Amino acid sequence: MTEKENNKKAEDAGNYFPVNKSYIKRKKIYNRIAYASAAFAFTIGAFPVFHIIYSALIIGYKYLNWSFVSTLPSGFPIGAKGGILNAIIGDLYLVIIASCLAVPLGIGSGLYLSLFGKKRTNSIIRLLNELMIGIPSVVWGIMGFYIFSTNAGLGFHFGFSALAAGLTLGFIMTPIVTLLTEQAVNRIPASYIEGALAIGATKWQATKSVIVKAAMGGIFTAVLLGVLNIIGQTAPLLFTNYYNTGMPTGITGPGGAVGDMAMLIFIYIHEPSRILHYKAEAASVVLLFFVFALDIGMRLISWITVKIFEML
Amino acid sequence: MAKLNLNLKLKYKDDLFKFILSIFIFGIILIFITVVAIILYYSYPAVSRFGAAFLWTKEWNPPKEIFGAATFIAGTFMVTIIALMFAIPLSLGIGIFLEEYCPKFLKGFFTIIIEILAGIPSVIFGVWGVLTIVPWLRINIEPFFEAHFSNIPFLKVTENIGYGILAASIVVAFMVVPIIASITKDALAAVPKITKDGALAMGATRLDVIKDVSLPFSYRGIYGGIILGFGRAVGETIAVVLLIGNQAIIPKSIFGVGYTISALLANTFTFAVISPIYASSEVELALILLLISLIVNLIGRNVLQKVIGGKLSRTQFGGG
Repeated sequence: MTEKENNKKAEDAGNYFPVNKSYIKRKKIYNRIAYASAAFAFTIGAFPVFHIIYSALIIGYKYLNWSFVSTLPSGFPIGAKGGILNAIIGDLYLVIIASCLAVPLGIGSGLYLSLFGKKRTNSIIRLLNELMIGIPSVVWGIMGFYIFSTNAGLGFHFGFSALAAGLTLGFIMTPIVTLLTEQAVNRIPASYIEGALAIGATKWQATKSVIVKAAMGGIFTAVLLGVLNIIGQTAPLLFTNYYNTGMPTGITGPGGAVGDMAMLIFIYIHEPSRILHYKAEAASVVLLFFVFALDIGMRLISWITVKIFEML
Repeated sequence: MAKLNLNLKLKYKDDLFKFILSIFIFGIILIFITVVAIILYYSYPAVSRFGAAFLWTKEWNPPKEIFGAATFIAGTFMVTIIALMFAIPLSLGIGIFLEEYCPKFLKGFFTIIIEILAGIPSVIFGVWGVLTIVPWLRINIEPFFEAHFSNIPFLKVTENIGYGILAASIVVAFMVVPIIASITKDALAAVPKITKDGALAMGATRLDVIKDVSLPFSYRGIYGGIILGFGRAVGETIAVVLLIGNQAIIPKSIFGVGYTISALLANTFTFAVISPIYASSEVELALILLLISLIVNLIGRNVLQKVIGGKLSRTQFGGG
């Protein structure tokens, strides 16, 4: 076979499978354009994250010092002097009250779903939880007003107070903790649970000695994500707690209202006062700090659990 | 004998454990029933008095006890639809970028950025809107549109103040982007790798793979994400209150001010409770929001269940 014949063969093949060079070039250019526009979309989507932090810091940094987080607001209009201690303490109250309701309820239901649930009950409960996650927070606020806060009609008559707001926030937090706990327990390798059951442990013993330990990281993540969600909530507090510039004297009735970080920012940004707008930005920095701290804590915990699982 | 006692004791403990957990389950059901029942019970007076006309009456006049939701429903849907018009292309681009184009070593970091966007509280979005988006619209965008597009009906600038439907929509768009983007990403990740690799081996470019393999495989999941994003945008409250202008008029332009259901509730619900029928009308507005959210989430979850097996992405739990 000569070289000439070979070339002719290649040419024939080229006629059967025509390679259109400009077509390929065009395809490549389109691909580049798609890459660029997808990357551009990502840039726009990521922009607010950085710009929110940047703009809050650039305006709020003058006010950020230790006394900002350790003194109560004072001056006129209220908040012009002093700090946001009332809001930090108030958030602590709300998170503790909400957790008292949501943590046992959420973890218990999550465990039930993954340990005892029949397929049918499971799908119904999961659906209810997912629907509850989608309910707008303003609707939760109205529900909280009628069952916890108002002094007329049905309900508990707690007034505008930390207890009313905390329980409303607990209602919001419960479905989150439930769903994530269930996912965390389902992620445990089946052999762990089956092994415990196979040597004669009851489900209670298996839970106590195996499941809780193995799913600890996931359950912590669930609780932290719930807390992360409720410290940003403002709308439910409008109708169940509103705001207090001082310290609460109790958790129900008059004097039971607490300050809240999100509420403080909302009220300050409504005021026609430049200094309060700046303080709102400074408070945003503090709130973002808490949010990111929870976020990082959550990621660390789940990363560590994954590492531990790999070591076992 | 002792062994039998031990077994019985264990069995009792186990039964007790199961019993306590089932009480918790009833707690979950009770919470759901409570929210639906309270909203239904307190909106009943308004529902029975105004009937279906509530939905298309435009006047909202508490002293005369005339209540109609049309203005607020129109405002809500305008904000939601404009927000989705911004959010859908953006989040499709982000989902495709993260799943198909992004270099491997940056993927985790970039995904975390989008998840952080979902976790930022809505009041901080509102503050950002007031101090950043509103001045930007007032100084840069609105004068430009006034000069060049003033004869196009939906783009007419009536008052150059920055606040309005567009400001609210932009901020709400950024709040729903993480939801749609992460679900798009999950749906694209569910495409079997072998089909993608097959197409690549045949000489297809990445774009061809996305267009002809990935998107046809995962479009249902993307619809599900858009539906959930819609549900989130409809109920958005605090950022919208701060940005929309709070005027009870049906806006004729995207630069006009308006009012949404959630904004009205946030602003006036605590004053409304002095009059039973006023309060009841406001609760009926909440009922509309509740029904929209339940229906939308029911459809969205069903769609997603089929595609990505009901896996929940973190962004759906985002901050308030």
